[in-house]
Amino acid sequence: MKGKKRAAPTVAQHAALTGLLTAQAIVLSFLENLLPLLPFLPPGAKLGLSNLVVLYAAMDLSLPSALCIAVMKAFFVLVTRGGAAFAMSLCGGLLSALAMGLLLRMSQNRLGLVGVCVGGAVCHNLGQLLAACVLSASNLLFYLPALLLFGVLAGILTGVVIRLLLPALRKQLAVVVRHWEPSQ
Amino acid sequence: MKRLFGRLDALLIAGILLLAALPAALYFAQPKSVRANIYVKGELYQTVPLDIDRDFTVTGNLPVVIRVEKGGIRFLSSPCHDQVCVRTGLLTRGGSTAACLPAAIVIRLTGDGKESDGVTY
Repeated sequence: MKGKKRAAPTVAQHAALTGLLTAQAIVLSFLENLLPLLPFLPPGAKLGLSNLVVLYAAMDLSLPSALCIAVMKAFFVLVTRGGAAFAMSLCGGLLSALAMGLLLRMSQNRLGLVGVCVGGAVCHNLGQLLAACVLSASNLLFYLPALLLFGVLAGILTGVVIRLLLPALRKQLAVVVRHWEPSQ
Repeated sequence: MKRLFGRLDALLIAGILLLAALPAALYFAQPKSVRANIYVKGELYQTVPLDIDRDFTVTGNLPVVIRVEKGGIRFLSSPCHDQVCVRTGLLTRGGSTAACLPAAIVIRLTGDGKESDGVTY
């Protein structure tokens, strides 16, 4: 870290940024739902665009901030799509945020954005599947290989997208936190 | 700015894909659960799993020797004169049938979901 010029966000700035990113995560998941379902994709295979924002929060803000976004997004799902979808979104979102946060910290910068995104996407699918298993009281694990495969594909895609979006996201952060410099 | 893709990423993806392929590999590796129904004089006499190789004798009008091998089943020998049943050979697919009419014994395979929808003669 280049500690000399890096200004840490204050608590208020932190809260403001988390709120901003939450709104963006919700909008992204809404937009994603507008995309037509492709016939060859299995149910449950999604792009996971809101994971972009969660990953960004884990990167430049903090892990709690990322977890908070995941929880708030799950509540949005509760309002719009009901309880079962809420449980699945919460499980997947929290697991995914946790995984991405840990991968970012523990890989010591050796893991690229694609790797972190793939880890997050796969964990999101895993969490959703586990929630679905509990909710439906049936063994759905036979579905895991397909979800792992599509998790990898979605992760690669979102990893590339967040690389493209990173300058814009950081510009947005710099508006709130003056003299902020990225640590990585 | 943070790197997009590295060796560790490739390793992670390869690991996950391997994990995804494992159950599929296990599924295809295990023998299909085809079973053979043996009918004597039109009545179901015995149901035989095809995963253990062995020979046994079934007696209808005549005693015939049946062998289970390579996940299939066949008439090994029959004292009948035409030997149609023996020449039918090994049955492995669900729905296939071999019959020894002089002995009044029929073997029919069931159970791998690949049976024909219908057969006309």
